[in-house]
Amino acid sequence: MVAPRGLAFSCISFVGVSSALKAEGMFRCLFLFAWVLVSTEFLAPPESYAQLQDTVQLAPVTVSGHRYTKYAAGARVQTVDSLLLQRRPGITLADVLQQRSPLYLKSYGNGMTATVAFRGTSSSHTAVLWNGFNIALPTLGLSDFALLPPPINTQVSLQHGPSGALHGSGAVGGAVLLENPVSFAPQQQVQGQQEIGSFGQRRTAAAGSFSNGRLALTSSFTRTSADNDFRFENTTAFGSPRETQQNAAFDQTSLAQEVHYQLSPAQRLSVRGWYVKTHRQIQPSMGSANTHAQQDDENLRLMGEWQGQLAGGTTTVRAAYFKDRLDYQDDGSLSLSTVNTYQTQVEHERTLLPNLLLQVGAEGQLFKANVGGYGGKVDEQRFSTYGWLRYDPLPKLQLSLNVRQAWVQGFNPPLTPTLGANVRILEQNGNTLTAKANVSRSYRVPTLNDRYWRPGGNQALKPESSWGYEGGLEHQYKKGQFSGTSELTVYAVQVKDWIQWQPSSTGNYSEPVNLQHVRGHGAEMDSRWQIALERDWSFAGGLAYAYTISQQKLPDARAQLQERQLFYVPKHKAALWAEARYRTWWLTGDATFTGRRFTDNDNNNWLPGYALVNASLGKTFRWNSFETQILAQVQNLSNTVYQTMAYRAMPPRNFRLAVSLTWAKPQNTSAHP
Amino acid sequence: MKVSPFKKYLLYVLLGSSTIFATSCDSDNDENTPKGAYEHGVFITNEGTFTSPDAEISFLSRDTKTLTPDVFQQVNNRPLGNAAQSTTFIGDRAYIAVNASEKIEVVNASTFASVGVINGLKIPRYMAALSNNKAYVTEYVGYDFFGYTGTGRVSVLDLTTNTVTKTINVGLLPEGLLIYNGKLYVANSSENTISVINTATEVVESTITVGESPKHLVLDANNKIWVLRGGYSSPGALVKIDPANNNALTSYDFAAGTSGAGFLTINGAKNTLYYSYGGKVYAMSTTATSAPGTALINRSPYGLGVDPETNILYLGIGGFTSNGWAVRYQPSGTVIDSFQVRIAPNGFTFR
Repeated sequence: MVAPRGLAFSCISFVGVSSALKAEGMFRCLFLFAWVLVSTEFLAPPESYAQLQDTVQLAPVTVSGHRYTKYAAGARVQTVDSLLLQRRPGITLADVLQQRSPLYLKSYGNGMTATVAFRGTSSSHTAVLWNGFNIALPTLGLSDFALLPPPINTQVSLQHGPSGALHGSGAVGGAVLLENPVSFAPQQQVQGQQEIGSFGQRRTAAAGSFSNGRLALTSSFTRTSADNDFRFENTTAFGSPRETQQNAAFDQTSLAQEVHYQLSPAQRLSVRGWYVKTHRQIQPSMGSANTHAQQDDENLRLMGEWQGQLAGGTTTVRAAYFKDRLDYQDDGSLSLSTVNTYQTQVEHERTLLPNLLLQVGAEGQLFKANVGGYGGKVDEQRFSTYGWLRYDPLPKLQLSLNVRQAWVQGFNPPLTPTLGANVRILEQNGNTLTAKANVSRSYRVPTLNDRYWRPGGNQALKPESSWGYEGGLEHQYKKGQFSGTSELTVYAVQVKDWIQWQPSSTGNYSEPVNLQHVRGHGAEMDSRWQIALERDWSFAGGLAYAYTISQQKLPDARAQLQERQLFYVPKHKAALWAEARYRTWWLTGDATFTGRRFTDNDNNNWLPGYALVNASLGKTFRWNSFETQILAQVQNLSNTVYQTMAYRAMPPRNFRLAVSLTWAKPQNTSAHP
Repeated sequence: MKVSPFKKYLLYVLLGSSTIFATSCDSDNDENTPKGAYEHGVFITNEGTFTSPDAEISFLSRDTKTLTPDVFQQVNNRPLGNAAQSTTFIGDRAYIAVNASEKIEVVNASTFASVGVINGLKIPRYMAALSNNKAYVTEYVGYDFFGYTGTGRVSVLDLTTNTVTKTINVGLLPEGLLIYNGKLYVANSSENTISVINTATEVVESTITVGESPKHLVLDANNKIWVLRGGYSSPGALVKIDPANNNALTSYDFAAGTSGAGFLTINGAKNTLYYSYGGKVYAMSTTATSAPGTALINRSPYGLGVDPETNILYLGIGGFTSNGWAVRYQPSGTVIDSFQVRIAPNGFTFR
């Protein structure tokens, strides 16, 4: 049958993989000027994260909790180790999340499409927000993390669990938040890095930041490419021969610029731009023909933000324009799609009482899609309004109540409330113990493909919705040079009206239907510690673990309904990392263990569990205002043969070497030993 | 990728009145068939998951009423490939066209052990044999609705060497094909034509215009060729071609407002056509004067077959991410039973 194949192809395969231009890295030093503002907070953020001071970090950077944190009482929001991003500019979010979070990363190959899911949901249930704007591809409703090389000053936070009130459509399982904080602290810094590695891996990065207290600029540039011509065992061919991977090269260039200007003590203006251009060959699965598939992605994101203190509160107005182009071709097909997205947000936050904070806001989105499969241009408008309330009735009790109502052209998603609480139950001898609880509803509007693809697209589809319930304990410890944070969370989640494409009931094609009802539960543990001994030694380490059950009822061979774990949801995923520093040397290692994953929803077949180990050794040299850093890395140290998507070969043991040079205007602080 | 070790011990049971027990289908299977475990029976072609090489062939034994859901993997200890399209028996071999692996897997028809592969194909779909040594396969080459601008083609296969000896350009998305009286008829499903190829000269000698989107062809007892056609812009039809009368056409139009041609097959006596159209299954006598107005089965099959020995109808049902079902019906349209096969069962081959 051609129609169903073709359709599935268009809807799924663009999630597909791809890219090949290979450019030797020109070492271009662009000026990037970073600025980080210490934004004032009314209430102490409930989350604190420990960050190891980095040798490269010449200027003191104070990072505040982002705009959501104060309204996320009882929820689990985790900031990802930003050291990784600083040391390896241009590293993809996919790598960061694989190494530092309990999320399962589904990757179609090295540098190929990579997606993550929270709490047993799917990649389309993960909202990705960039400075407040959802950047999921509107056609597919998901984000390819291989296409998101974060700019140098990016802070990555993970919201585990539904959070529709805070993050809008798509935050059904969780959300990944990318923020570029504002700082006007005076500084000047320029940095360049060149990395080379196995299989033709090349990465060139340059970044710079400048701030004079009134104007702050940050720029970053990265170019990454790889041939990915590694050897692998083709288990689908007779005799399992060793073969060289074909058609898996990629090339990616990204450029980010920020300009922030303090108009007056009470007003600032910010403009951010992020452009990523990616050309990928699409690595065929073992046993599939090499049809020379390739994909070109171009993602341009521009946003402006004005923030002012007005009428006793803080008002923020944002506007954004995104252009997402995804062009796919292989020997037998060519598919072009471009979506222009226009978004605006208006927010007002004010203190009603010293212990009561309110934020209200509204946002509008306009999508203008030009997609071959829609049979013409399609526009869709979406609006939502929200109110967030934070109330601290007692010093040890924090409550948040948030609500959002969305309106989408053609139908209305449900009202999505969130209620959460933190209670400090113990505070002594450097120990703080906090109990947390949260109930939240979320929703996901069907994608443009779900609604407009012809044939099959159905504008009457219901939005998906989820309910999440969770409780947890957080422990913080700080005594002298020893500190740590640990958190244990248990949760239940259910997703209704999960949209799935299946053969049409009326013709010879595929169509999306509100089919699945998925129930899940699980536990998450996270613990991070650091200690400094005397002057010379310091250690840091952490552990993240998730136990995930996510099930739907399916008939077995006797037609009896059985609970089946969703495919590609491992029951166990653990990530462990540690770093030791001695003067100007440092040694880091990380290890992840991923349990068995079923590759079909009937649980007939599976990929066995695997462990992956990476290690790196670094050394810093410093003279005057300059600093050079050399970093040697081994990826997949144990040479594990593994797949995260069935039959997609992953690289064996491989090596990388990076050299960076940083110049910073001396500060009148003593940030370094 | 591992296969559940206990899977082969599971029972696969029919849902309805009769019950089918699965047995281990290893070579120690105690059957009275000297040539192999899979000599006679019903073969179900399962496409598998999209972009993954987990296509499979399921086997139902009529005699012992056993079902083996994954014959190819069990016998050959490797997956079949990405998107199996059709299974064709020629002589003592079975040929499985695997469209996204761009190959035809060749196996021993009785044991299902792999004996070769035919490469060099571009999206192979269906096969027809001229003899035990020579066959033809339709190939999409590219998807015109995804911007492909070339033509479809038919490749001539030498079955003694498992090689392509010639390619013949035809229309877009060539699907069903049929050999009659030295002529190969090819349905160009994204056009409105049938290409007629002379099997002696292997060139297209004429093109018959039959109307939008011809998909599948069968030959009836009176040596008339029937074409099921129908896209989405106008109602489809069954078109009868009379090769003895200069390929004269008779069209049996479907009702206005309908669309979507599926499969066409014919019973053992070759006098009743069964076809799927617009999400339903219909039956029509080859001597009828008009297409039936009411459906035999109100169900949309992903695959359709009729067993020439028993005239039992087989419908493939299921989605793209979980096991599908083969549902059996009496020729009258009464459901008999069903059994679970693999993902996206798109066709049935009887032997």
